[in-house]
Amino acid sequence: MGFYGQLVKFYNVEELSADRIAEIRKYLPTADNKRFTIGAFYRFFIPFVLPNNIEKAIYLDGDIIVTLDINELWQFEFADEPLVVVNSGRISLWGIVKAEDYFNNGVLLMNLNVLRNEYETVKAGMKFFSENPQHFKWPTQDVHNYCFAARAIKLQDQKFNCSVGYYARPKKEPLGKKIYHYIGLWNSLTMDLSDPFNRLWMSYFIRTPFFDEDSMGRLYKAFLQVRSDLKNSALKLSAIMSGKTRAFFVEPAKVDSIKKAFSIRDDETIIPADNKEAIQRLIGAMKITQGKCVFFIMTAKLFNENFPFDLLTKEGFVENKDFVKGWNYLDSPLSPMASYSFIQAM
Amino acid sequence: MIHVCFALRDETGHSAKFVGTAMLSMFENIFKHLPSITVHILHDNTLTADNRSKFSYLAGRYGQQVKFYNVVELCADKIAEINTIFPSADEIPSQGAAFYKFLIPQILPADIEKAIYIESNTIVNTDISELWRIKLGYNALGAVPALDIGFNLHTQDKIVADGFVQPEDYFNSGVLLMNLRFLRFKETSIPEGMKFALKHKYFNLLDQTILNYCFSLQTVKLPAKFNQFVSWARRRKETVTRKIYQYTDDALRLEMNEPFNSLWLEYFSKTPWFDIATIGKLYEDLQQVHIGLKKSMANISLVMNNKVRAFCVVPAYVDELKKIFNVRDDEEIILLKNRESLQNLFDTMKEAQGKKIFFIMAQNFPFHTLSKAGFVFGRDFLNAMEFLSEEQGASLNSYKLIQGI
Repeated sequence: MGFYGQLVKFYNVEELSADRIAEIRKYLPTADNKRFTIGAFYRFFIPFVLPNNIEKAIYLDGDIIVTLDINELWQFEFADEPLVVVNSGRISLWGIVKAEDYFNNGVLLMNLNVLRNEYETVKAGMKFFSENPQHFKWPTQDVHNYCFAARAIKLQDQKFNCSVGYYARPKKEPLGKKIYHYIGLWNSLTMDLSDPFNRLWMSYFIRTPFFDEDSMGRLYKAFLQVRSDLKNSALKLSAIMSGKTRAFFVEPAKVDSIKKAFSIRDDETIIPADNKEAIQRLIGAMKITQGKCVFFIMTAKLFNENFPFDLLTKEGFVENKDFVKGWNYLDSPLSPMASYSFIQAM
Repeated sequence: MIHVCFALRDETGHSAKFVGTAMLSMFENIFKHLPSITVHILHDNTLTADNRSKFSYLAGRYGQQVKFYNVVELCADKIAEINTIFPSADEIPSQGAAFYKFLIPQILPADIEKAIYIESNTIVNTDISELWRIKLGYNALGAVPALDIGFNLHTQDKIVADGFVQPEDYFNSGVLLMNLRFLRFKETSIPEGMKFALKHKYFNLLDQTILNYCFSLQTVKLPAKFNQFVSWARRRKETVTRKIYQYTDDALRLEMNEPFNSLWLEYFSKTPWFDIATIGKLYEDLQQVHIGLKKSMANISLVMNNKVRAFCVVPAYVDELKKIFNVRDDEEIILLKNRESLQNLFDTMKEAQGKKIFFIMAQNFPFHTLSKAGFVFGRDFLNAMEFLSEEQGASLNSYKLIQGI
């Protein structure tokens, strides 16, 4: 019995389900990638590693906060359905699964009695995706939906699987009694504690044994790495700029703010990125001044597309010699990705 | 019952955590049955209700007691007396709360005859009852001699150099065992000590100077373990042991791989001040550091505009400089070999003014001499040390971050 008077048990699936893991790797060799590790498939093993006298189980992803009484989910009854899920309502699976059936598999009530007889179904799902990789976007979720979406009990109440990134935040919902899912953690969870959802997650995290004095040290260490990267960038910039002047390529709407950020003088060139021909004007200016001027490209996106740096390099211009990605030098706050990396470090 | 006093002035609201951490360390290491400690906090109007309730919660959690004394209300006459001696007492560095220890004999109830005073930036990593048991007899105080903390610590106070207190008698006032009965009889001693310090302009360590002037010959010399400076322990490469440690001179940092930092943070993490607000504030402050760095990067492009870099460095660090800054062959390097090198630098800078910007990479370089010579920081020269990161030897002062949380 732990601090909260509850129980925890551990199952090493690498030992208990080694054969099933091997099968997954055989059918889906790309399943273990940067975003989704093989661990995402462990939920398929639950019916087989839990004792047979356990007839149902709730599965929760690790990026979840539960503020309602989990009994509300537990109390749902099965007939012969394999799962109780929450309909995500947004997407379908390429005509294989209808939008009204498609579910996010981060929160599941599992009918273990049924699922224990469904491993061949799961294997068939994995085989389908191995033969049709074009349908393969979210590995375990797509396999789960392929196998069980039509038969699962679909809850319409999003409170049992409320995506913080996609649903709750855009609607500026107040916090309530829900299961909050921080899907795509780096998009959903940062250290900006003025945001109520970040604060919610942090308020629980600090009560766990995983938050201690070492957390502060690790947070600080992670920040020092960011600082070190910035210092190195500053060093590089001093080398890039040595003996050269500056010029800027800027969206017209942002000229004033960029002028202020860089203290641009009146005699410094600003090329407005006002139409598609602007790139040619930029290239022309770069050719005239080559070797004497560093161009600060301030447009990461140009007309909704990534800035075409390849057009510059094709002309023989070199990044960090003839041009730089100027937005990297703006006094912007820590990115959500960097902020999330601090949470990971803690 | 052991009576322990702290003094707190807290304009920002962020200083209370240091007292709280010291308190917790004391509670964690006492082995007597409860309640065994009463903490007396001498404060002013800067103590917030939130911090006050945290102190109470902390004491309650450990089955100990805490009492609060607003010196502004309770000792208005004594404070007025101090103000007549020092009209601008608040402006003299390190005063304010440092003077509150003088009020302890008058402010604590008359039936309390002995008390321990501890500075706020302290960790009590031992059983405080060991200190409490020491008998003072007819002496005013018990204190650790400064010589037992650091070999030249006493030289910081001119009262020793001027011969008024012997080096071997000079004590540090960060941890005191106070004979309140004795001190109540000697009520006039402290004002006399203040007048003495004022007359000789001994303002550097004013409260400590006054106490030494008054009582250096009536002070029991305590074992060194009851007052050590972390800065000196580090210098002597000591490990953390069962002692009372003072974190003077910004000795506290967020680098957790250092045992004394880790010691303080370990206790701090158990206090009510280690909460979600702490993390949020730390992150906000890191954001500000980050934004400051980004701003300075935009500024580099402005400063460098149409200028060539040049460098000034001591010969021993030339290779390192070349590597860190990726120095080109056409970029000049001036070597700082001796005093004459400075003049050479001035002459070179004058000749190159407007065309070059000089990166000066030298510890403790006298930048004011460049400014005096008419050169402008950010136009003619830069401090190259500011470009260096942790691994290149320039660490961030994380004590400011700890102060801010």
